[in-house]
Amino acid sequence: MGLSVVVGSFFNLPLRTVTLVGAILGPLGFIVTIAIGFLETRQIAGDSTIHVTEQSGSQTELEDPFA
Amino acid sequence: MSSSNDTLKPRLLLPIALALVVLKGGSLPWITVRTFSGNERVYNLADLRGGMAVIMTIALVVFIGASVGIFKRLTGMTIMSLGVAALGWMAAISGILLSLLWSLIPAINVAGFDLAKATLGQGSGVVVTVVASLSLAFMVVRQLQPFKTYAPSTHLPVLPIVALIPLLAITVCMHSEWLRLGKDGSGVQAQVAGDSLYGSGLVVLVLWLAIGLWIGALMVNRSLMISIASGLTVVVSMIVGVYAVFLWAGGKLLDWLVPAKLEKWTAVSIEPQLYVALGSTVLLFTFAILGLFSRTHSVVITLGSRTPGAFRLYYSDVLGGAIIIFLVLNFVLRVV
Repeated sequence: MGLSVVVGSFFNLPLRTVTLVGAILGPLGFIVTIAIGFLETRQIAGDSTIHVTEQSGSQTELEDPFA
Repeated sequence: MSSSNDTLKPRLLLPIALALVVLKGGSLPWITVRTFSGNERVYNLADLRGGMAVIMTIALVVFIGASVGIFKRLTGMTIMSLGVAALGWMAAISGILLSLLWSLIPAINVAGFDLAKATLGQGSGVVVTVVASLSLAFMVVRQLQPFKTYAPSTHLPVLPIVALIPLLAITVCMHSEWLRLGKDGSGVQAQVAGDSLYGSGLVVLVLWLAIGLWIGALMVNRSLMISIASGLTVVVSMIVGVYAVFLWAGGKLLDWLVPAKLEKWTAVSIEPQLYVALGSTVLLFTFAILGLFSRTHSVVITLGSRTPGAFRLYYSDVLGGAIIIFLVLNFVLRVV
């Protein structure tokens, strides 16, 4: 449970979820927390990339008078 | 509003049935001792000192969880799951702990058996207890955020379910006899179980890890988890396959080479469990290879649409009811 909480806090996962997963699943909870952490981080990174692309796209539209 | 919320909540019958299966697992064999005289003795949790107290304590926790679950379903399920998880992990580590103790001390006498002259393995109760405990944990964890988004209640991925069936069959077969040397009346007889082979302790550990990863793939239904579980399963199925083939070929070779006049001492019989393990290994290897291709990850069972109208038939209730009927019948047959 302790390991799951440490890994969960590293990935900014909800404390309640991580504690329950660690307590119920034991060592398996540790593996599952790592997997969820990676997937969540990747999803957040993907969302922020789309956001930045949209922002830069709108700036280009404003700056280019022939577009 | 309340009825629609009720349909979204998990049903309570299957969690209670699974908790009862975990408790039942405590009375099934946890440890098997096989001596070279052909005897086999099994021990369950109730045989150990304080074992009944452990079972009764967990039964009390399950009862409290079931009572709370009537009003706050997820809270009740969580309490039940926490209770049975204690028994599940106790079962999982029991065999490993005893094997470690066995390997450290040259001679241990347990109930008249010298363990130094015997082989030791986990019983079927361990598999029943751990799998039921993990299934209940799966039902609880998939209700939590962010797991809810990775394991929607309307779909179940097919590959983890079909991979778990041969994997569990192999795990059970690993703890049963694969080969028998000697005849019943000869006095000297050896039972070669899958878990008594060289390096099998590590293989059993990896088998449990693979089971955990496939259950993890049910909770986190993403290609990453399925690919990791498939990769590990390919390796472990190949190792178990090599064990089974070598033991089968070795047994056949011994039977062919040894002179007929020594038949009483050297009779070799290959047990059906070896063939079950071999067949399951082939199936598991096939499923694991399929799991390496991303196209198979999206194959799911849809649970969303149920019987329309006022009366709703829930799959979990049907399964939970069947488990409870089986447990009651088992209890009645034992008493009668």
